[in-house]
Amino acid sequence: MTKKKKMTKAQKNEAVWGLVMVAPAIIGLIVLNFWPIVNTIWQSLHKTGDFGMGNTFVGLDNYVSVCTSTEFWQSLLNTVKYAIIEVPFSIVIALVLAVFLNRKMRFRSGYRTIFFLPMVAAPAAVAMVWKWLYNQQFGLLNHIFHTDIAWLSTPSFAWVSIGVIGVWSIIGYNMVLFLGGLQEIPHDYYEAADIDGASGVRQFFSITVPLLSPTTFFIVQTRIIAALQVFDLIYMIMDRTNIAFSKVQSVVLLFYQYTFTQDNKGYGSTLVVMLLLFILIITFVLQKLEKKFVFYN
Amino acid sequence: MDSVRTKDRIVRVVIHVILIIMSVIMIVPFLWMALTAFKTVAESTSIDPFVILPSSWKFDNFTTVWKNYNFLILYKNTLLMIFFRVLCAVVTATMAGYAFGRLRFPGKNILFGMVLVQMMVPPQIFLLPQYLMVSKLRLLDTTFALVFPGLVSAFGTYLMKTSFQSLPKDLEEAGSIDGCNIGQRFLLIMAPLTRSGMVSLGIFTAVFGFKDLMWPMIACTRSDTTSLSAALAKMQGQFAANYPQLMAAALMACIPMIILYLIFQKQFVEGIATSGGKL
Amino acid sequence: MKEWLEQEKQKLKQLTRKQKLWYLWDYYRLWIIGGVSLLLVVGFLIGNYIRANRENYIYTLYVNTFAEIGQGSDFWQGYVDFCGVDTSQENVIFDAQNYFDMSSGSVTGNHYYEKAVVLIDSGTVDAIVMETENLALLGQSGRLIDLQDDRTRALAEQYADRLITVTHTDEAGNTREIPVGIDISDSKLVSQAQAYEDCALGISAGAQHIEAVGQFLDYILQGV
Repeated sequence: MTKKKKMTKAQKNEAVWGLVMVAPAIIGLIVLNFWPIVNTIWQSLHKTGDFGMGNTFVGLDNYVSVCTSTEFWQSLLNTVKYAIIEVPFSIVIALVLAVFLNRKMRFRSGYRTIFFLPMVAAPAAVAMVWKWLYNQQFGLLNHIFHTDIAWLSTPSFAWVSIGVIGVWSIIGYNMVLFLGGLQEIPHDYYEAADIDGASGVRQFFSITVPLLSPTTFFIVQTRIIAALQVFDLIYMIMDRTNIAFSKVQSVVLLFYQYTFTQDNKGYGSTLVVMLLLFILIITFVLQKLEKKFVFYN
Repeated sequence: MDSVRTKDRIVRVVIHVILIIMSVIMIVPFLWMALTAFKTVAESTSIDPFVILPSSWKFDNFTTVWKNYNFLILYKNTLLMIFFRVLCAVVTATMAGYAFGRLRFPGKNILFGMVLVQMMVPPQIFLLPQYLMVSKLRLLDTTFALVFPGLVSAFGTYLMKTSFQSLPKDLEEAGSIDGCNIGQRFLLIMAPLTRSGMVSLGIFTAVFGFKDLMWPMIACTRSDTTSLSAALAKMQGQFAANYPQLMAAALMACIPMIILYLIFQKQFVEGIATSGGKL
Repeated sequence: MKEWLEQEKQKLKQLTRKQKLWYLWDYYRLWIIGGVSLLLVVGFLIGNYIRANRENYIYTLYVNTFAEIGQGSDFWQGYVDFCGVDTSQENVIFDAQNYFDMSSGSVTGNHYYEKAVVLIDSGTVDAIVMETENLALLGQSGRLIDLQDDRTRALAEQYADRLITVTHTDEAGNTREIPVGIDISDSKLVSQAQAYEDCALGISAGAQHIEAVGQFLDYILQGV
């Protein structure tokens, strides 16, 4: 094996600039976020003291309890099911909308603002309205379809109902990101394609999709990570007395229950670490896919 | 020739129809919020008959809420918080994004891994440690406290990295031939090209800062230092079932965000990359 | 590094004063702005720390009450006078805007509860006052101090006839009764301030100002 080559002056220069430019962000992240993560891992190895007593080190006991608890695995399954609905649907719909809204048209700003609105809505209002829509007796959905379905309390598909709300609330967000990515594709490509006589659909698949792939990948990856951490949505809409609750409960919800409600910080931290590991595995798989499918200049 | 034009028109009509349907779906909660703000308490909670339109369009709820809460201070605190969060997040993320996306330096992959990991944990675990930090710095109940969690953004760094990576390489090379050092290349050439990325990041930082409720609630408990969303939550506790007032307050709180979005949305100027792409 | 410094010095020597400044600004804009900002921020932080906020004398959370017992109220002033605290030197914090009910089956996501938890866990809150039943439920979670602990033993003995206990089963299956609260339903809080119908006080596990809590108990139980 050859020894590492000494860097040229230009490379050294680049290295210095690089390190300096990442410094503010990295230092900030270490102080603000990284330290709590390390702290959480440390906590997962302890049993937290109650009633004013200190913490006791228990090694991997918490991990054993978590891995052998059906509650945890069920919640992980719930979380994955939610992600399976939220991610693909919201991304595809948002992409289509973004492409539409990237063309010159009347009322374009209006549409963009409307689709953005769910993001600024007070979560409380959103929860109330969707609960009303899904209401078994007086809900609009049952009224329109003349059905009598308990959308939110049927264990077999309550998670789908929640997934739909998830898709609704995140379309605007994805759309903004897609619009940003679309803006960066030079017009010349489309003009050339027009001259060549390519149809709109053809242009979409041959130009837009490949050049948008970095943005698409970014959105897919960040949305998967975020969807697996779903919490707010579920706690606002469902409460513990709902029979479908255990089939919808996400891992973060479980973590919250143990850490905040039951003051069992050790167990809660363990849940967080387990989720982190799961997400890391998925991210790793995604990175491999990135090399295959994403086209960078 | 005619068939092409009609085909074009049909496509446009179809697109509009789809957009209108989607818009309706998006806008329903807002309509409900707005309508409820004008109702009386009884009207808002009656299930049978379900009241859609308020009987009278009075502004009572709005005036009551305005009087009870000093909205001006809340607006000021919230806007300041958003301003600084956006500034810091965009600046640090853009610099770091450029470095991660375009430069080579030792430890790059490890550091970026660290950035990604931040996003993979639930934000609740940051609450207590960050609170302790701000408390020790004796900065509770200040605007700085409100800004604190938003000073840097892992998401933003990743976003900017992606933006920089999608830009054509030729520009950079042109820059270095001209004798710019890396700093100038970044500031004068590359960064302006990622304007749409920066605007997206700005919008998101603003929105999430605005909606951030837990942090202002614990870091700024005094009502003259807190933010709009935390104050809104307080109202929820006080007027437990007074939905109309709550909705009125929520509407008044939303408005600055919508205005900001409308302003910055125009920044999505198309085709900056176009002019630079010509060889 | 050194070579770069030499190079720059050479370049600068050839320029006039004005050109020097422009050159520096042109090439090192980023560094200059960054450096200045950094200095400003650090300066601000240090300055603020020195001019620092006052210490807390006591921090008390009141849950589920709509009475006027927060900062500036008569009730609050009474306590300040009773202890002879100089509020320009030390903070006396009565936080009465919290609403959560632990018996409702779920406090998940209730922001006030989260806030209370963070404040308790960080040791900021010294005492918490709630309805008796509510407090007992909170005590179950282990966030309140065992009043028989060294730090609060004196209080436990002083108010032995008012203790609220919870039954706690530990890992080994041993059960014991742990006193976590002091019933104060006959105190000033109820009779004068009308903040509750029945209430109890618990001390957080990480409390820093237990003496002040003792004084608080004396204050509200005056004449009882």
